Amino acid sequence: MKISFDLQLQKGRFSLDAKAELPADSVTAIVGPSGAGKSTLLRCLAGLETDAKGDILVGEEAWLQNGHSLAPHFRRIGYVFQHAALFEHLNVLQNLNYARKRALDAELYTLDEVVQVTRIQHLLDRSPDTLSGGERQRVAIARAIASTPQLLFLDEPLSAVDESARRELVHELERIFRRFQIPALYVTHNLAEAARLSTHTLRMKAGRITANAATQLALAPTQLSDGSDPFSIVVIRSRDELPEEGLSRLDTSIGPILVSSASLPRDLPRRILVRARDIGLSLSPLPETSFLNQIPATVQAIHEHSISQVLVQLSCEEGTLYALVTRRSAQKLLLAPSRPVHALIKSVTLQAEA
Amino acid sequence: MSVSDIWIPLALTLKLAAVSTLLLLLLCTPLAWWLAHTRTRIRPVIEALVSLPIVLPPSVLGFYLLVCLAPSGPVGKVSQALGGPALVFSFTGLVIGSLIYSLPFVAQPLQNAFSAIKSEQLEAAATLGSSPLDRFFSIAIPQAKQGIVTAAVLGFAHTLGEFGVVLMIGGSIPGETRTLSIAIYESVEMLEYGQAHILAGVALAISFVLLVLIYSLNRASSPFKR
Repeated sequence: MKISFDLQLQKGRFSLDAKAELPADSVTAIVGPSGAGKSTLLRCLAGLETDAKGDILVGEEAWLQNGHSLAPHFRRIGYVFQHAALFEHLNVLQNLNYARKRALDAELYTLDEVVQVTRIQHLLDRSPDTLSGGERQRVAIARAIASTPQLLFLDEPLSAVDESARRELVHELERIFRRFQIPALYVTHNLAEAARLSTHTLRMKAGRITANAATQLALAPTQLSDGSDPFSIVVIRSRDELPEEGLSRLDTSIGPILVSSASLPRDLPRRILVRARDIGLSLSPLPETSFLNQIPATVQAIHEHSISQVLVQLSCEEGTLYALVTRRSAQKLLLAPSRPVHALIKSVTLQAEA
Repeated sequence: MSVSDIWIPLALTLKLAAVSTLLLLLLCTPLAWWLAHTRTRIRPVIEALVSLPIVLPPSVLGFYLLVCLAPSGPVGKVSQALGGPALVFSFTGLVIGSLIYSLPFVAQPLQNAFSAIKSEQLEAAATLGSSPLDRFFSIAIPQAKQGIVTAAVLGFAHTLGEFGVVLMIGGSIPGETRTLSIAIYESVEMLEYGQAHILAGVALAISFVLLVLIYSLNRASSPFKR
Protein backbone atom coordinates (compact mmCIF):
# COMPACT_ATOMS: atom_id res chain seq x y z
CA MET A 1 0.00 0.00 0.00
CA LYS A 2 1.39 3.33 -1.01
CA ILE A 3 1.09 6.38 1.21
CA SER A 4 1.78 9.81 -0.14
CA PHE A 5 1.33 13.04 1.74
CA ASP A 6 2.12 16.71 1.55
CA LEU A 7 1.29 18.25 4.90
CA GLN A 8 1.54 21.65 6.52
CA LEU A 9 0.76 22.48 10.10
CA GLN A 10 1.57 25.50 12.22
CA LYS A 11 1.60 24.88 15.97
CA GLY A 12 2.85 27.85 17.92
CA ARG A 13 6.42 28.37 16.83
CA PHE A 14 6.73 24.88 15.35
CA SER A 15 5.90 24.38 11.72
CA LEU A 16 5.54 21.06 9.97
CA ASP A 17 6.05 20.97 6.24
CA ALA A 18 6.44 17.36 5.20
CA LYS A 19 6.08 15.76 1.82
CA ALA A 20 6.90 12.15 0.98
CA GLU A 21 5.79 9.02 -0.76
CA LEU A 22 6.19 5.72 1.08
CA PRO A 23 5.92 2.13 -0.06
CA ALA A 24 4.41 1.28 3.36
CA ASP A 25 4.28 -2.43 2.60
CA SER A 26 5.99 -3.36 5.83
CA VAL A 27 7.40 -1.31 8.70
CA THR A 28 8.41 2.29 8.05
CA ALA A 29 10.38 4.04 10.77
CA ILE A 30 10.08 7.79 11.33
CA VAL A 31 13.22 8.92 13.12
CA GLY A 32 14.74 12.20 14.19
CA PRO A 33 15.72 14.18 17.26
CA SER A 34 13.01 15.22 19.70
CA GLY A 35 11.14 18.23 18.42
CA ALA A 36 11.62 17.12 14.81
CA GLY A 37 7.87 16.70 14.38
CA LYS A 38 7.75 12.92 14.13
CA SER A 39 4.77 12.49 16.41
CA THR A 40 3.05 15.51 14.91
CA LEU A 41 3.41 13.99 11.45
CA LEU A 42 1.91 10.73 12.72
CA ARG A 43 -0.97 12.60 14.38
CA CYS A 44 -1.62 14.47 11.12
CA LEU A 45 -1.72 11.20 9.20
CA ALA A 46 -4.12 9.76 11.78
CA GLY A 47 -6.40 12.78 11.51
CA LEU A 48 -5.86 13.83 15.12
CA GLU A 49 -4.49 17.27 14.16
CA THR A 50 -7.55 18.98 12.82
CA ASP A 51 -5.64 22.07 11.67
CA ALA A 52 -3.39 20.13 9.28
CA LYS A 53 -3.53 21.28 5.68
CA GLY A 54 -2.49 19.53 2.48
CA ASP A 55 -3.06 16.10 1.03
CA ILE A 56 -2.91 12.53 2.29
CA LEU A 57 -3.45 9.64 -0.06
CA VAL A 58 -3.41 6.11 1.33
CA GLY A 59 -3.72 3.45 -1.34
CA GLU A 60 -6.65 4.69 -3.40
CA GLU A 61 -8.24 6.56 -0.51
CA ALA A 62 -7.93 10.33 -0.02
CA TRP A 63 -7.72 11.01 3.71
CA LEU A 64 -7.10 14.70 3.27
CA GLN A 65 -7.75 16.59 0.08
CA ASN A 66 -9.03 20.04 -0.87
CA GLY A 67 -9.61 20.91 2.77
CA HIS A 68 -11.79 17.85 3.25
CA SER A 69 -10.54 15.57 6.01
CA LEU A 70 -11.69 12.01 6.54
CA ALA A 71 -12.59 11.69 10.23
CA PRO A 72 -10.13 9.52 12.21
CA HIS A 73 -12.76 6.89 12.97
CA PHE A 74 -13.12 6.21 9.24
CA ARG A 75 -9.38 5.87 8.60
CA ARG A 76 -9.03 2.23 9.69
CA ILE A 77 -5.86 2.72 11.65
CA GLY A 78 -4.58 1.27 14.88
CA TYR A 79 -2.75 3.87 16.94
CA VAL A 80 -0.42 2.99 19.80
CA PHE A 81 0.15 6.07 21.93
CA GLN A 82 3.37 6.82 23.75
CA HIS A 83 1.62 6.37 27.09
CA ALA A 84 -0.69 3.59 25.89
CA ALA A 85 -3.92 5.57 26.49
CA LEU A 86 -5.77 2.51 27.74
CA PHE A 87 -9.34 3.32 28.71
CA GLU A 88 -9.17 3.95 32.42
CA HIS A 89 -12.75 2.96 33.21
CA LEU A 90 -12.38 -0.45 31.58
CA ASN A 91 -10.25 -3.47 32.41
CA VAL A 92 -7.85 -5.01 29.92
CA LEU A 93 -10.34 -7.41 28.34
CA GLN A 94 -12.95 -4.66 28.07
CA ASN A 95 -10.35 -2.45 26.39
CA LEU A 96 -9.77 -5.18 23.83
CA ASN A 97 -13.48 -5.76 23.37
CA TYR A 98 -13.99 -2.05 22.80
CA ALA A 99 -11.70 -2.32 19.79
CA ARG A 100 -13.13 -5.66 18.74
CA LYS A 101 -16.72 -4.40 18.69
CA ARG A 102 -15.70 -1.66 16.28
CA ALA A 103 -13.43 -3.85 14.15
CA LEU A 104 -14.31 -3.82 10.46
CA ASP A 105 -12.95 -7.18 9.52
CA ALA A 106 -13.24 -9.39 12.59
CA GLU A 107 -12.75 -12.47 10.38
CA LEU A 108 -9.04 -11.72 9.85
CA TYR A 109 -8.01 -13.16 13.18
CA THR A 110 -9.61 -13.90 16.52
CA LEU A 111 -9.19 -11.91 19.69
CA ASP A 112 -7.67 -15.02 21.29
CA GLU A 113 -4.96 -15.00 18.68
CA VAL A 114 -4.16 -11.35 19.34
CA VAL A 115 -4.04 -12.03 23.08
CA GLN A 116 -1.72 -14.99 22.56
CA VAL A 117 0.69 -13.31 20.18
CA THR A 118 0.99 -10.23 22.42
CA ARG A 119 1.27 -12.49 25.49
CA ILE A 120 -1.25 -10.75 27.72
CA GLN A 121 -3.41 -13.75 28.72
CA HIS A 122 -2.60 -13.24 32.39
CA LEU A 123 -3.56 -9.54 32.33
CA LEU A 124 -7.11 -9.75 30.99
CA ASP A 125 -8.99 -8.98 34.20
CA ARG A 126 -6.57 -6.31 35.42
CA SER A 127 -7.30 -2.61 35.53
CA PRO A 128 -4.96 -0.46 33.42
CA ASP A 129 -3.65 1.47 36.42
CA THR A 130 -2.24 -1.73 37.95
CA LEU A 131 -0.10 -2.55 34.90
CA SER A 132 3.60 -1.84 34.44
CA GLY A 133 4.76 0.36 31.58
CA GLY A 134 5.69 -2.64 29.44
CA GLU A 135 2.39 -4.39 30.13
CA ARG A 136 0.41 -1.27 29.26
CA GLN A 137 2.14 -1.07 25.89
CA ARG A 138 1.50 -4.74 25.17
CA VAL A 139 -2.18 -4.21 25.85
CA ALA A 140 -2.20 -1.02 23.76
CA ILE A 141 -0.61 -2.90 20.86
CA ALA A 142 -3.08 -5.76 21.26
CA ARG A 143 -5.98 -3.30 21.34
CA ALA A 144 -4.81 -1.55 18.19
CA ILE A 145 -4.41 -4.86 16.36
CA ALA A 146 -7.76 -6.17 17.63
CA SER A 147 -9.51 -3.46 15.65
CA THR A 148 -8.14 -5.06 12.42
CA PRO A 149 -6.58 -1.86 11.08
CA GLN A 150 -5.18 -1.62 7.56
CA LEU A 151 -2.34 0.50 8.92
CA LEU A 152 -0.70 0.52 12.34
CA PHE A 153 0.69 3.75 13.81
CA LEU A 154 3.09 3.52 16.74
CA ASP A 155 4.22 6.71 18.47
CA GLU A 156 7.38 6.00 20.49
CA PRO A 157 5.72 2.92 21.98
CA LEU A 158 8.81 1.93 23.96
CA SER A 159 9.93 5.28 25.31
CA ALA A 160 7.91 5.01 28.53
CA VAL A 161 9.12 1.47 29.18
CA ASP A 162 12.09 0.54 31.34
CA GLU A 163 15.27 -0.77 29.73
CA SER A 164 14.83 -4.53 30.23
CA ALA A 165 11.18 -4.57 29.18
CA ARG A 166 12.17 -2.45 26.22
CA ARG A 167 14.67 -5.00 24.96
CA GLU A 168 12.08 -7.75 25.22
CA LEU A 169 9.38 -5.68 23.56
CA VAL A 170 11.51 -4.98 20.50
CA HIS A 171 11.68 -8.74 19.84
CA GLU A 172 7.98 -9.03 20.49
CA LEU A 173 7.18 -6.20 18.14
CA GLU A 174 9.18 -7.84 15.40
CA ARG A 175 7.25 -11.07 15.92
CA ILE A 176 3.92 -9.25 16.10
CA PHE A 177 4.61 -7.30 12.90
CA ARG A 178 5.53 -10.53 11.15
CA ARG A 179 2.51 -12.46 12.41
CA PHE A 180 -0.19 -9.93 11.53
CA GLN A 181 1.46 -8.42 8.45
CA ILE A 182 -0.08 -5.00 9.05
CA PRO A 183 1.94 -2.21 7.43
CA ALA A 184 3.16 0.06 10.21
CA LEU A 185 4.53 3.55 10.73
CA TYR A 186 6.85 3.50 13.71
CA VAL A 187 7.99 6.75 15.33
CA THR A 188 11.14 6.54 17.42
CA HIS A 189 14.16 8.62 18.34
CA ASN A 190 16.14 5.41 18.87
CA LEU A 191 18.02 4.59 15.66
CA ALA A 192 18.81 1.04 16.72
CA GLU A 193 15.11 0.35 17.24
CA ALA A 194 14.37 1.74 13.79
CA ALA A 195 17.19 -0.32 12.27
CA ARG A 196 15.97 -3.51 13.91
CA LEU A 197 12.32 -3.16 13.04
CA SER A 198 11.93 -1.26 9.80
CA THR A 199 12.60 -1.80 6.12
CA HIS A 200 12.01 1.81 5.14
CA THR A 201 12.91 4.97 7.03
CA LEU A 202 11.91 8.62 7.03
CA ARG A 203 14.36 10.93 8.74
CA MET A 204 13.02 14.23 10.03
CA LYS A 205 14.48 17.42 11.39
CA ALA A 206 12.78 20.67 12.41
CA GLY A 207 9.46 19.73 10.85
CA ARG A 208 10.97 18.75 7.48
CA ILE A 209 11.73 15.35 5.99
CA THR A 210 15.48 15.02 5.42
CA ALA A 211 15.65 11.45 4.09
CA ASN A 212 13.19 8.95 2.66
CA ALA A 213 14.85 5.68 1.73
CA ALA A 214 15.35 2.02 2.54
CA THR A 215 16.44 1.75 6.19
CA GLN A 216 19.91 0.45 5.23
CA LEU A 217 20.52 3.64 3.28
CA ALA A 218 18.63 6.16 5.42
CA LEU A 219 20.37 5.00 8.59
CA ALA A 220 23.84 4.41 7.12
CA PRO A 221 26.35 6.03 9.49
CA THR A 222 27.63 8.20 6.66
CA GLN A 223 24.17 9.75 6.45
CA LEU A 224 23.96 10.57 10.12
CA SER A 225 25.77 13.54 11.51
CA ASP A 226 24.25 13.54 14.97
CA GLY A 227 27.25 12.07 16.78
CA SER A 228 25.44 8.82 17.47
CA ASP A 229 27.41 5.59 17.83
CA PRO A 230 27.69 4.32 14.22
CA PHE A 231 26.49 0.80 13.46
CA SER A 232 25.88 -1.48 10.48
CA ILE A 233 22.67 -3.34 9.82
CA VAL A 234 23.09 -7.02 9.00
CA VAL A 235 20.18 -8.96 7.54
CA ILE A 236 19.78 -12.53 8.80
CA ARG A 237 18.49 -15.15 6.38
CA SER A 238 18.61 -18.34 8.42
CA ARG A 239 20.25 -19.98 11.37
CA ASP A 240 21.91 -23.33 12.17
CA GLU A 241 22.41 -24.48 15.71
CA LEU A 242 25.70 -25.91 17.00
CA PRO A 243 24.22 -27.14 20.26
CA GLU A 244 27.37 -28.76 21.64
CA GLU A 245 29.13 -25.40 21.47
CA GLY A 246 26.15 -23.21 22.38
CA LEU A 247 26.63 -21.29 19.18
CA SER A 248 24.43 -20.38 16.25
CA ARG A 249 25.70 -20.06 12.71
CA LEU A 250 23.81 -17.29 10.99
CA ASP A 251 23.59 -16.98 7.25
CA THR A 252 23.63 -13.21 6.75
CA SER A 253 24.02 -10.51 4.16
CA ILE A 254 27.72 -10.23 5.07
CA GLY A 255 28.34 -13.99 5.01
CA PRO A 256 28.14 -16.66 7.70
CA ILE A 257 28.78 -15.48 11.26
CA LEU A 258 28.86 -17.29 14.59
CA VAL A 259 27.12 -15.90 17.64
CA SER A 260 26.29 -17.25 21.06
CA SER A 261 22.85 -18.91 20.88
CA ALA A 262 21.87 -17.48 24.23
CA SER A 263 22.18 -13.93 22.93
CA LEU A 264 19.48 -14.49 20.31
CA PRO A 265 15.77 -14.68 21.03
CA ARG A 266 13.98 -17.90 20.09
CA ASP A 267 12.26 -16.26 17.19
CA LEU A 268 15.01 -15.37 14.80
CA PRO A 269 15.36 -11.61 14.42
CA ARG A 270 15.49 -10.36 10.85
CA ARG A 271 18.27 -7.92 11.47
CA ILE A 272 21.12 -7.54 13.89
CA LEU A 273 23.39 -4.60 14.42
CA VAL A 274 27.18 -4.47 14.51
CA ARG A 275 28.64 -1.39 16.15
CA ALA A 276 31.41 0.20 14.14
CA ARG A 277 33.62 0.28 17.22
CA ASP A 278 33.22 -3.49 17.61
CA ILE A 279 34.94 -4.18 14.30
CA GLY A 280 38.70 -4.43 13.87
CA LEU A 281 40.51 -4.72 10.53
CA SER A 282 43.35 -6.99 9.48
CA LEU A 283 45.05 -7.34 6.11
CA SER A 284 45.30 -11.12 6.38
CA PRO A 285 43.20 -13.67 8.23
CA LEU A 286 44.48 -14.22 11.76
CA PRO A 287 44.71 -17.95 12.51
CA GLU A 288 45.86 -17.44 16.08
CA THR A 289 43.21 -15.21 17.57
CA SER A 290 40.06 -15.50 19.64
CA PHE A 291 37.99 -13.59 17.09
CA LEU A 292 35.42 -16.09 15.78
CA ASN A 293 34.19 -13.96 12.97
CA GLN A 294 36.69 -12.84 10.36
CA ILE A 295 34.78 -11.66 7.36
CA PRO A 296 36.60 -11.12 4.07
CA ALA A 297 35.73 -7.63 2.87
CA THR A 298 36.74 -4.92 0.46
CA VAL A 299 37.25 -1.30 1.43
CA GLN A 300 34.75 0.88 -0.40
CA ALA A 301 35.34 4.27 1.06
CA ILE A 302 36.92 6.00 4.02
CA HIS A 303 34.93 8.70 5.78
CA GLU A 304 36.15 11.27 8.24
CA HIS A 305 34.82 10.63 11.74
CA SER A 306 36.84 12.50 14.36
CA ILE A 307 40.33 13.89 14.84
CA SER A 308 41.68 10.46 15.70
CA GLN A 309 39.27 8.11 13.90
CA VAL A 310 38.00 7.31 10.45
CA LEU A 311 34.93 5.32 9.47
CA VAL A 312 35.83 2.61 6.96
CA GLN A 313 33.01 1.48 4.71
CA LEU A 314 33.41 -2.18 3.68
CA SER A 315 31.51 -4.36 1.29
CA CYS A 316 31.24 -8.02 2.16
CA GLU A 317 29.03 -10.26 0.05
CA GLU A 318 25.78 -8.33 -0.38
CA GLY A 319 26.15 -6.38 2.82
CA THR A 320 27.92 -3.30 4.02
CA LEU A 321 29.88 -3.01 7.23
CA TYR A 322 31.25 0.12 8.87
CA ALA A 323 34.38 -0.07 11.00
CA LEU A 324 35.68 2.66 13.22
CA VAL A 325 39.50 2.60 13.30
CA THR A 326 42.14 5.12 14.26
CA ARG A 327 43.65 7.29 11.60
CA ARG A 328 47.03 5.85 12.57
CA SER A 329 45.86 2.25 11.90
CA ALA A 330 44.28 3.27 8.62
CA GLN A 331 47.61 4.73 7.51
CA LYS A 332 49.58 1.75 8.77
CA LEU A 333 47.33 -0.69 6.85
CA LEU A 334 47.40 1.60 3.79
CA LEU A 335 43.60 1.45 3.72
CA ALA A 336 42.20 2.74 0.45
CA PRO A 337 39.22 1.92 -1.77
CA SER A 338 39.23 -1.60 -3.23
CA ARG A 339 41.84 -2.84 -0.77
CA PRO A 340 40.90 -6.36 0.50
CA VAL A 341 40.80 -6.73 4.27
CA HIS A 342 39.31 -8.96 6.94
CA ALA A 343 36.73 -7.53 9.30
CA LEU A 344 37.17 -8.90 12.81
CA ILE A 345 33.84 -8.73 14.55
CA LYS A 346 34.05 -8.53 18.31
CA SER A 347 30.32 -8.81 18.94
CA VAL A 348 26.93 -8.33 17.39
CA THR A 349 24.07 -6.75 19.21
CA LEU A 350 20.34 -6.61 19.07
CA GLN A 351 19.72 -3.23 20.59
CA ALA A 352 22.86 -1.04 20.49
CA GLU A 353 22.51 2.20 22.37
CA ALA A 354 22.54 4.39 19.30
CA MET B 1 -50.88 21.37 62.72
CA SER B 2 -51.40 18.32 60.49
CA VAL B 3 -49.09 16.02 58.60
CA SER B 4 -50.20 17.60 55.34
CA ASP B 5 -48.92 20.96 56.55
CA ILE B 6 -45.45 19.44 56.31
CA TRP B 7 -45.98 16.91 53.55
CA ILE B 8 -47.51 19.24 50.93
CA PRO B 9 -44.67 21.81 50.89
CA LEU B 10 -42.09 19.04 51.26
CA ALA B 11 -43.50 17.02 48.35
CA LEU B 12 -43.71 20.15 46.22
CA THR B 13 -40.10 21.03 47.01
CA LEU B 14 -38.86 17.52 46.21
CA LYS B 15 -40.85 17.50 42.97
CA LEU B 16 -39.46 20.90 41.99
CA ALA B 17 -35.90 19.79 42.76
CA ALA B 18 -36.29 16.50 40.88
CA VAL B 19 -37.83 18.06 37.76
CA SER B 20 -35.27 20.89 37.73
CA THR B 21 -32.32 18.55 38.23
CA LEU B 22 -33.44 16.25 35.45
CA LEU B 23 -33.95 19.11 33.02
CA LEU B 24 -30.65 20.71 34.06
CA LEU B 25 -28.73 17.49 33.44
CA LEU B 26 -30.23 17.26 29.97
CA LEU B 27 -29.52 20.90 29.16
CA CYS B 28 -26.14 21.26 30.83
CA THR B 29 -24.52 18.09 29.47
CA PRO B 30 -24.20 19.42 25.91
CA LEU B 31 -23.44 22.92 27.21
CA ALA B 32 -20.69 21.67 29.54
CA TRP B 33 -19.26 19.39 26.83
CA TRP B 34 -19.13 22.33 24.46
CA LEU B 35 -17.53 24.58 27.10
CA ALA B 36 -14.95 21.92 27.91
CA HIS B 37 -13.86 21.56 24.29
CA THR B 38 -14.58 24.77 22.43
CA ARG B 39 -11.76 27.02 21.34
CA THR B 40 -14.06 29.99 20.74
CA ARG B 41 -12.99 33.36 22.08
CA ILE B 42 -16.36 34.07 23.65
CA ARG B 43 -16.01 31.13 26.03
CA PRO B 44 -15.23 33.38 29.04
CA VAL B 45 -18.42 35.34 28.34
CA ILE B 46 -20.50 32.17 28.26
CA GLU B 47 -18.80 30.88 31.40
CA ALA B 48 -19.50 34.17 33.18
CA LEU B 49 -23.15 34.01 32.17
CA VAL B 50 -23.42 30.45 33.46
CA SER B 51 -21.82 31.44 36.78
CA LEU B 52 -23.84 34.63 37.23
CA PRO B 53 -26.57 33.01 39.38
CA ILE B 54 -23.90 32.19 42.00
CA VAL B 55 -23.07 35.81 42.68
CA LEU B 56 -26.39 37.54 41.95
CA PRO B 57 -28.70 38.03 44.93
CA PRO B 58 -31.72 35.74 44.36
CA SER B 59 -33.96 38.78 44.56
CA VAL B 60 -32.22 40.33 41.56
CA LEU B 61 -32.63 37.13 39.64
CA GLY B 62 -36.23 36.86 40.79
CA PHE B 63 -36.94 40.44 39.78
CA TYR B 64 -35.71 39.96 36.22
CA LEU B 65 -37.51 36.66 35.96
CA LEU B 66 -40.71 38.31 37.14
CA VAL B 67 -40.33 41.02 34.49
CA CYS B 68 -39.65 38.47 31.75
CA LEU B 69 -42.18 35.83 32.73
CA ALA B 70 -45.11 38.10 33.59
CA PRO B 71 -47.97 37.96 31.04
CA SER B 72 -46.83 41.35 29.75
CA GLY B 73 -43.13 40.37 29.69
CA PRO B 74 -41.34 39.03 26.60
CA VAL B 75 -41.30 35.37 27.62
CA GLY B 76 -44.78 35.53 29.18
CA LYS B 77 -46.22 36.99 25.98
CA VAL B 78 -44.79 34.19 23.87
CA SER B 79 -46.13 31.57 26.26
CA GLN B 80 -49.58 33.17 26.20
CA ALA B 81 -49.58 33.48 22.41
CA LEU B 82 -48.76 29.80 22.10
CA GLY B 83 -51.43 28.88 24.58
CA GLY B 84 -48.85 27.90 27.16
CA PRO B 85 -49.27 28.00 30.92
CA ALA B 86 -48.96 31.09 33.07
CA LEU B 87 -45.33 31.50 34.03
CA VAL B 88 -45.60 33.54 37.18
CA PHE B 89 -47.19 32.26 40.38
CA SER B 90 -47.19 28.75 38.90
CA PHE B 91 -45.16 25.56 39.20
CA THR B 92 -43.92 25.96 35.62
CA GLY B 93 -42.55 29.39 36.51
CA LEU B 94 -40.76 27.93 39.53
CA VAL B 95 -39.13 25.27 37.35
CA ILE B 96 -37.89 27.95 34.94
CA GLY B 97 -36.58 29.98 37.87
CA SER B 98 -34.85 26.94 39.36
CA LEU B 99 -33.21 26.08 36.07
CA ILE B 100 -31.51 29.44 36.03
CA TYR B 101 -30.88 29.61 39.76
CA SER B 102 -29.21 26.17 39.92
CA LEU B 103 -27.61 26.22 36.47
CA PRO B 104 -24.00 26.81 37.63
CA PHE B 105 -24.24 24.08 40.25
CA VAL B 106 -24.93 21.51 37.55
CA ALA B 107 -22.96 23.00 34.66
CA GLN B 108 -19.70 23.51 36.51
CA PRO B 109 -19.15 20.00 37.92
CA LEU B 110 -20.07 18.62 34.50
CA GLN B 111 -17.64 20.93 32.73
CA ASN B 112 -14.88 20.05 35.20
CA ALA B 113 -15.54 16.36 34.75
CA PHE B 114 -15.48 16.61 30.96
CA SER B 115 -12.33 18.75 31.01
CA ALA B 116 -10.59 16.20 33.21
CA ILE B 117 -10.94 13.46 30.59
CA LYS B 118 -7.59 13.19 28.84
CA SER B 119 -7.83 14.03 25.16
CA GLU B 120 -5.80 10.89 24.42
CA GLN B 121 -8.64 8.75 25.74
CA LEU B 122 -11.01 10.19 23.17
CA GLU B 123 -8.37 10.12 20.44
CA ALA B 124 -7.62 6.47 21.15
CA ALA B 125 -11.32 5.69 20.84
CA ALA B 126 -11.49 7.59 17.54
CA THR B 127 -8.61 5.62 16.07
CA LEU B 128 -10.40 2.41 17.08
CA GLY B 129 -13.31 3.39 14.88
CA SER B 130 -15.52 5.13 17.41
CA SER B 131 -17.64 8.02 16.07
CA PRO B 132 -17.98 11.29 18.04
CA LEU B 133 -21.37 10.31 19.46
CA ASP B 134 -20.12 6.80 20.25
CA ARG B 135 -17.09 8.34 22.04
CA PHE B 136 -19.34 10.59 24.05
CA PHE B 137 -21.42 7.72 25.37
CA SER B 138 -18.73 5.02 25.59
CA ILE B 139 -15.85 7.11 26.99
CA ALA B 140 -16.93 10.56 28.16
CA ILE B 141 -20.08 9.66 30.11
CA PRO B 142 -18.55 6.68 31.99
CA GLN B 143 -15.38 8.63 32.79
CA ALA B 144 -17.39 11.67 33.94
CA LYS B 145 -19.77 9.55 36.00
CA GLN B 146 -18.68 10.96 39.30
CA GLY B 147 -18.97 14.54 38.06
CA ILE B 148 -22.46 13.78 36.76
CA VAL B 149 -23.57 12.40 40.13
CA THR B 150 -22.04 15.41 41.91
CA ALA B 151 -23.80 17.76 39.50
CA ALA B 152 -27.13 16.03 40.07
CA VAL B 153 -26.85 16.05 43.85
CA LEU B 154 -25.66 19.66 43.98
CA GLY B 155 -28.39 20.81 41.61
CA PHE B 156 -31.00 18.95 43.64
CA ALA B 157 -29.74 20.26 46.97
CA HIS B 158 -29.40 23.81 45.75
CA THR B 159 -32.94 23.81 44.36
CA LEU B 160 -34.21 22.58 47.73
CA GLY B 161 -32.79 25.68 49.37
CA GLU B 162 -34.23 28.11 46.85
CA PHE B 163 -36.08 30.95 48.54
CA GLY B 164 -35.62 34.43 47.08
CA VAL B 165 -36.46 33.49 43.53
CA VAL B 166 -39.53 31.51 44.62
CA LEU B 167 -40.72 34.39 46.74
CA MET B 168 -40.42 36.79 43.83
CA ILE B 169 -42.03 34.74 41.06
CA GLY B 170 -43.97 32.04 42.86
CA GLY B 171 -45.76 33.63 45.73
CA SER B 172 -47.18 31.11 48.15
CA ILE B 173 -49.89 29.00 46.60
CA PRO B 174 -50.20 25.78 48.60
CA GLY B 175 -49.35 22.70 46.50
CA GLU B 176 -48.33 24.90 43.57
CA THR B 177 -45.63 27.32 44.67
CA ARG B 178 -45.48 27.08 48.45
CA THR B 179 -42.17 25.31 48.89
CA LEU B 180 -40.52 24.26 52.12
CA SER B 181 -38.49 27.43 52.49
CA ILE B 182 -41.54 29.64 51.89
CA ALA B 183 -43.54 27.60 54.38
CA ILE B 184 -40.84 28.10 57.01
CA TYR B 185 -40.73 31.82 56.32
CA GLU B 186 -44.49 32.11 56.72
CA SER B 187 -44.56 30.02 59.87
CA VAL B 188 -42.02 32.32 61.46
CA GLU B 189 -43.91 35.38 60.33
CA MET B 190 -47.02 34.01 62.01
CA LEU B 191 -44.94 33.16 65.10
CA GLU B 192 -45.67 29.42 64.68
CA TYR B 193 -42.23 28.40 65.85
CA GLY B 194 -43.20 24.76 66.43
CA GLN B 195 -44.10 24.27 62.77
CA ALA B 196 -41.05 26.22 61.64
CA HIS B 197 -38.87 23.92 63.75
CA ILE B 198 -40.24 20.80 62.13
CA LEU B 199 -39.98 22.18 58.60
CA ALA B 200 -36.49 23.56 59.17
CA GLY B 201 -35.41 20.27 60.73
CA VAL B 202 -36.59 18.36 57.67
CA ALA B 203 -34.73 20.76 55.36
CA LEU B 204 -31.59 20.47 57.46
CA ALA B 205 -31.73 16.68 57.48
CA ILE B 206 -32.26 16.35 53.72
CA SER B 207 -29.46 18.80 52.92
CA PHE B 208 -27.09 17.09 55.31
CA VAL B 209 -27.80 13.63 53.91
CA LEU B 210 -27.27 14.87 50.36
CA LEU B 211 -23.93 16.44 51.25
CA VAL B 212 -22.78 13.28 53.03
CA LEU B 213 -23.71 11.45 49.83
CA ILE B 214 -21.57 13.79 47.71
CA TYR B 215 -18.56 13.56 49.96
CA SER B 216 -18.72 9.79 50.29
CA LEU B 217 -18.97 9.50 46.49
CA ASN B 218 -15.94 11.71 46.10
CA ARG B 219 -14.04 9.60 48.59
CA ALA B 220 -14.90 6.34 46.85
CA SER B 221 -13.03 7.33 43.72
CA SER B 222 -10.24 9.29 45.33
CA PRO B 223 -6.84 8.12 44.09
CA PHE B 224 -5.63 7.73 47.66
CA LYS B 225 -8.06 4.99 48.55
CA ARG B 226 -8.13 1.89 46.44
